[in-house]
Amino acid sequence: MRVGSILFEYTGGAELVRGSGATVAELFADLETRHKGLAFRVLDEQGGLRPHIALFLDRRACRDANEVLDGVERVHVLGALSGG
Amino acid sequence: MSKKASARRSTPRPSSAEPHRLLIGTRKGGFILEAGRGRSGWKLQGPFVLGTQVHDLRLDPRDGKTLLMTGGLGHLGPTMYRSTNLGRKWTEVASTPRFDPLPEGSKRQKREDGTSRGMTVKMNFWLEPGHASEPGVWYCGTGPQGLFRSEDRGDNWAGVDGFNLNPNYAKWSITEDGSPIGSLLHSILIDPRDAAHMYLSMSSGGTFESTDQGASWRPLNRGVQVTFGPEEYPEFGQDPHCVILHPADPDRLYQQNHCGIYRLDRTVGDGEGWVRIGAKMPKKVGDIGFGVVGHPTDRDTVWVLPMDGTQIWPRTSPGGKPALYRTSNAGRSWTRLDKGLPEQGWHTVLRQALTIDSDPKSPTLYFGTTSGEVWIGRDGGEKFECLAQHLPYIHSVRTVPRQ
Repeated sequence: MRVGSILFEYTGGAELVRGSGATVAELFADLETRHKGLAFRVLDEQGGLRPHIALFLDRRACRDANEVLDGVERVHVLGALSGG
Repeated sequence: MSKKASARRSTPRPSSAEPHRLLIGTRKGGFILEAGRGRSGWKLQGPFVLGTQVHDLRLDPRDGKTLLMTGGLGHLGPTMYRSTNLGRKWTEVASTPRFDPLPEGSKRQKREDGTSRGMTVKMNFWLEPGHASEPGVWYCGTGPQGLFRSEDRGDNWAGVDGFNLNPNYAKWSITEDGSPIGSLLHSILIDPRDAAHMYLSMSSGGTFESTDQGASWRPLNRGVQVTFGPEEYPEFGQDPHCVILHPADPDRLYQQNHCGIYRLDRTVGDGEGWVRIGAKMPKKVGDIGFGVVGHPTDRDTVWVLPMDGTQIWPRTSPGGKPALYRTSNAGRSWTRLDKGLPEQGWHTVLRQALTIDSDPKSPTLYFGTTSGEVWIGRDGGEKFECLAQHLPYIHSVRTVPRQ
């Protein structure tokens, strides 16, 4: 998974981190075991993607954490250009 | 209501030799302004966690060293930071306030069961250290409105079920999308004589009281006007901006509301009726504003900082002429205080950004502006000076209580 600089605090400064899971939510649950705090900054307590986070599965935009990662090689988690 | 004398909070013992600290929350991080004897030679520390949006920053008066600071970036979710060495090092806390989920398989939408289940915390807004008899306990009010409690000095948080899961929650809180930054829970007040006796206020929703440490709540809004709804004096649904237990008398509350300034005496009559004391403010100024603070030892003295509530609510001082108003007779008359303040200034002073220290001989006011200035009002606001400029948009200014 590739993360934007706003999440480097949770990845030890790394832009790329490895994780696995059948869905986006499972991927974040797996990453949370090694990068504490990362998941809650991206997904809220109800499992929803935070409004100003942009998530791409390879080149496809995603807004649903239940989406299946079948065949996806890289997930991009970036700060959305929400103005400013 | 029960009032346990054994839980009485110790009387503040201010000393002019101690450092004076102002804890400042801004849109770009936290800061501390510190001065020595005579409240002079102010030095600025910070920013703490540059870039995080700090709505509140407070020191634990029970240990004198733990600072808690709310945070959050525009992109990422809300969080909180803690320092145990007066700001030299900050660590993100283990977990922050979160609403409960809807039951698995529930076909209801959020709020349809009357509670906060299924909602999302967008902002950790108000921090309140717990009662003196409960070291380590803190409360947090969130946006949208939620009440949360920590028992480990802010490292982990749990919802106060008596409020968040109350079947009246959705009715009392009216909406989760109030203007302009979303609905908020604030003014968490704990009776210094009794840890179980609490108040909270919501914008929107009104003021509520609990006598069983949050297990149950009831509205306490009689006499408080609503001009933005169909009913002028409803049981709840008001918009208190800031409510205080007066430092000199916890049986007296003052409130700066969206619809005026009020006083409530719990020992007069049935102790349930608010009186609009802002009616005696000058008509050209009005009685709309955000903050209200009380004199450390005189229960009849409070200060407010009015803003323009005449037409479209620009949230500036009336006419762009910043001033505070003081009453020394519980609201029967008001005195304008503006010596040293700019003749024109178009800033806003938010509800957590007006404060006072606890020195009874020389109570000193402080306020921070959305234009990044911090002001001191010596001798109860008789003369103002600017202590700092060019800070980010200021959300909160808190003094450090001494015990």
